[in-house]
Amino acid sequence: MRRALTLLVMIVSLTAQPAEAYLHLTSSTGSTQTPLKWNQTRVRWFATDRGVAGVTAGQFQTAVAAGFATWEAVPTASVAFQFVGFTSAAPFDDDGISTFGFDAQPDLDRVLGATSFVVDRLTGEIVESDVFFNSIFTWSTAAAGDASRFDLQSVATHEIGHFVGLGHSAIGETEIRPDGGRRVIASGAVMFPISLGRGTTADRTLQPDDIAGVSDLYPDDDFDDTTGAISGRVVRNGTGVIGAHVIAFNPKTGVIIGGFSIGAGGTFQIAGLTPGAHVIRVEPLDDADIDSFFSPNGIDVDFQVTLLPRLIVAPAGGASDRFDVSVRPK
Amino acid sequence: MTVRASLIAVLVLLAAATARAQTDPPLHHLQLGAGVGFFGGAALGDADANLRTSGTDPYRLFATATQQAGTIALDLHAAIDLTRRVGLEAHTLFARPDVRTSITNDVESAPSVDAVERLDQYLIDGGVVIRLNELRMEGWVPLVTAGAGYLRQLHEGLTLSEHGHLFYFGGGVRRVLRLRPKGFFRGLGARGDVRLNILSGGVTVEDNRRNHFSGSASVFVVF
Repeated sequence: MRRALTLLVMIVSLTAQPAEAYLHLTSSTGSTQTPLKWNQTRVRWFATDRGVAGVTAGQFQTAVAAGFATWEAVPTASVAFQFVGFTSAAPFDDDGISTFGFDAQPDLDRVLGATSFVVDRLTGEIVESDVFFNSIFTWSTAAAGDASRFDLQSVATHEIGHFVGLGHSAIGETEIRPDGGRRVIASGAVMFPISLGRGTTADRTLQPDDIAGVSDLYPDDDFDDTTGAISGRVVRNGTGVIGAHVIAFNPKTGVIIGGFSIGAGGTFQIAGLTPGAHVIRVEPLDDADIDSFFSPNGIDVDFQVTLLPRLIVAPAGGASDRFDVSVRPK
Repeated sequence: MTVRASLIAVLVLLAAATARAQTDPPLHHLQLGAGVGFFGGAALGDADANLRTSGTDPYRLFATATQQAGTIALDLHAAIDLTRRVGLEAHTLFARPDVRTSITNDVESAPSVDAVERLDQYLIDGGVVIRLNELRMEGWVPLVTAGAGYLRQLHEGLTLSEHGHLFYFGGGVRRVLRLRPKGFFRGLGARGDVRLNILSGGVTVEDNRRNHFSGSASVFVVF
């Protein structure tokens, strides 16, 4: 789900998977959490046959197909999609087909788009997923973007990230606007929950955090052997901190990949890292609404941004020894 | 008279040759040495943790500058004198340097820290030794060395290795302390070296060549 200013949770009864990088959507059954993912080798999707001002149905389908192609082109992931055809069905119809289309949702006046799922809660298999784009906003499919409109392909690429089972990334910086919403200063992932704004086409291009997330969910044959993971725990006065945002920065590659301390006792794991030494930075989840990531219950934001005075090595095909990051109250 | 003068001259030359033979290891005999020294540090590169913006300029989350610190090193070497001037040598140098990444200018004012890991570093190299016999002083023979080799660095925890190569240029002095005309052990000597090691690959940030000075003092046995 992507919003213009603030986020409205649309993915009901889904939680974040603990102990993983980025955020994978999961299905909860008792204490068991199963990642949501497609089991089909080629996921079929439909586009609605209705356009909006400035975007025809054909242009809409082309922009969404480009978004799908972006995810399908990730070399370390094995996930494929197939456009089946146009449909008169509306997004969010529980009809057994995955539909992308425009819909007017004036009550969601800060939501650009959202993704819904029908899932098998036992296996986590996604059975159907629909994506709507809010037609109360103005949209563009111009190759270079349109300064007064939101870029459809960028938002589609974000929503397709949800469509394949990814949650939101917290790699980004925002500031509070006078109206109470947030303005994005910078982001490091297409899956950051808040758009960079009208006119920009930056989110047509996946970032390393997005690539690591989809590759971890749909790994190709070599992914697990050629990448590494780090695992640790965020603690304050010896007690685990739940919901801290942890990033791993590789100075050699310049790549930033993030995760959350949402495992038991404040544990986290960040997978899909280029093997090598990483700088670790921990911050409270304060650049977007917490409920845009997971249930806000028990999430701790009362601690200072902390840089770990150790370099943590992600070995190829394995994980680091578990380490602690001690944070102090604000 | 003329004959006597020539004879004296020959004797002087022989004596000089004998004296040199007594202060150099015999040719084609293996010299094995071990020593300690210092392997100098070098900057490995700078890198900013950048995020995208809606414009063209990136947004810096924090800045890093990484250095490999200098440290004590162990040096094992083997050498052989091919001629009175030229020899071959091979070195294995082991050190455990710290890699130190200074993290500064955090956008949310996190206190700056140095993030550190300790490497296990091996240099395995070989090269040529040129002895400058004409500059011998008090039995110490100056040397000029040059060669190339292999760099292996293991990250902390020994779970990941990185590889590279090196070229080196250097110099030093060597002195034979004791020689025996026969036997398994033919002699004992001391050696001092300084080197400029130009490393590529291995643990680095900017993939550029970096210069590490090293120095060592060692003793060697002639077989």
